[in-house]
Amino acid sequence: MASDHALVEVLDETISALSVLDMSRLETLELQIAGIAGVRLIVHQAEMNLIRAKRDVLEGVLHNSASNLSALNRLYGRDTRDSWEHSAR
Amino acid sequence: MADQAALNVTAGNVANQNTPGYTRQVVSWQQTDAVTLSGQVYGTGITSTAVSQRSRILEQRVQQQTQTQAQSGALESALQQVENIFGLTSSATSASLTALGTATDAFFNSFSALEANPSDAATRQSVLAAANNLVSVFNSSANQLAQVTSGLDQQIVSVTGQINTLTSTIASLNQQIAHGDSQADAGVLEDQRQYAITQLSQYVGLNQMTTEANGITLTTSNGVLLVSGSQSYAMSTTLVAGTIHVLAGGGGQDVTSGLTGGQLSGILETRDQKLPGYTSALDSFAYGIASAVNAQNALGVDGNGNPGAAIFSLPPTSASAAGSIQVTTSDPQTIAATAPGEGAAGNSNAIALADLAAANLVGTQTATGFLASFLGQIGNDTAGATTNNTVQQATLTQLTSQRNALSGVSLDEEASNLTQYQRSYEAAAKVFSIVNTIMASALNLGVETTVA
Repeated sequence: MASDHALVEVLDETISALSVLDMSRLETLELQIAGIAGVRLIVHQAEMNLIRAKRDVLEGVLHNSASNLSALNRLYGRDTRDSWEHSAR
Repeated sequence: MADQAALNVTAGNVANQNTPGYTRQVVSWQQTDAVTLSGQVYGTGITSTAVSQRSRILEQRVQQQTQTQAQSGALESALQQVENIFGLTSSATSASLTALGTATDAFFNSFSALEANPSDAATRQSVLAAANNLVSVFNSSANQLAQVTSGLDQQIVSVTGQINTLTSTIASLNQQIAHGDSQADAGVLEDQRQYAITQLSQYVGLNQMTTEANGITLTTSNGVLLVSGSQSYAMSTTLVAGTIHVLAGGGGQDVTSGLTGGQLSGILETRDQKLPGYTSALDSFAYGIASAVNAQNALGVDGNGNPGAAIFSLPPTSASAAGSIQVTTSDPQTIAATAPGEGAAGNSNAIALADLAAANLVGTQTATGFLASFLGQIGNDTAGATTNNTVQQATLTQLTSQRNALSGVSLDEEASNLTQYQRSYEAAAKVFSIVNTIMASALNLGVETTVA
């Protein structure tokens, strides 16, 4: 049996890891949430609002990430860089 | 020599890793011209050059996100002040537990007490005390809302000043970069300009265009010039019908309602779209209760045997009612507890006054119902702003990381990084999907439940 705190922690950590695109941490969290889903989980109504708010944040960051990744993939290989040489040191 | 230059570049990158706006440099190697002597070709070695690389697109995405985050941050900050006014510091706070809810309930309950002892002086005094307390909460809440507005006005003036300082700096850097008349390294000037634009993005939403001679033209989000080449166009503020408006561009165009992005936009959104609604609702609430009580009191007979007079002084309409409402009397006999012809011991009008608690006093809502929806609206607006700002902050962190990781790397490294980002996104999306499934099951099963 797991507590609803576990869900809150996973959401918090996922938002944090997604902010810095920490792939290894996110893969660990993916396994962790799959484990939580497989056990009996007590969810208190009082905690539900908090979970919902964090879920909404994750949804928003995912939405922005998808748009951002799409742009990066479109830009890949194109020369969008400004380069400039520096004066002699 | 080339190796020494490469070492210098590395040392420079380390030394400047905390320098705001610094762009990491990479070493570019070039083979020098070969020399032919007596038909024999001799290599003369290689030279190295320090090169900075910045992706225009990534830089602009970071700046756009900075503008979005600054706007949502300003909105959240102002709405939290409003929440504090009404004591909504916790999402679990119910309307009846706030100062306004408590004062409203106490006022109507004082009429219920008067039903039992309509001629008792102390009970009558309690009605007046409850009325004074309710008025005090109305006045205080209205006053604090006005102070939030006033504080936002001050921020508008302050932010406008910051914007002008930065646009002036950017115009000056445009000039130095275009003319190459500075002794400074051109890369350093570029870094300084980019940093200034990032700072400016915190204050105001921008459109950015690169012009010839590596100049940058900046306009507000609605297209009014801020910087063009070496010329900056100062923003200013002016009073229009008692409200501070923002002017921009050479012609002093009023951009107050057209800005998006940056702190300035968040401040204006709060002041011009959110606060007027809250102030109006508070006024309607005060006016609805007070006018109904005045009308009912006028139908009764007071403790001196005279027709009931108004207990509250009110403006002709609900506008500014919460800030100006007062209790008109200090005489407890003014309360009209009895109905005409009932005699001094009658309590019919006290019952009618107490029944107002369940009547539709504010539009089609009871006082309690209106207050709950009013405070619920403030709570929802603030919670929404907090969620949005957290999202925008996380997105800004992500974009900044990507910009730093992708600038100056090879195409192979870029591809590898993009693959990692994609995988990270997929893992987070899977977490989201599973959380959704868990929540859906929990909601279906009720208050406290077990999810298999």
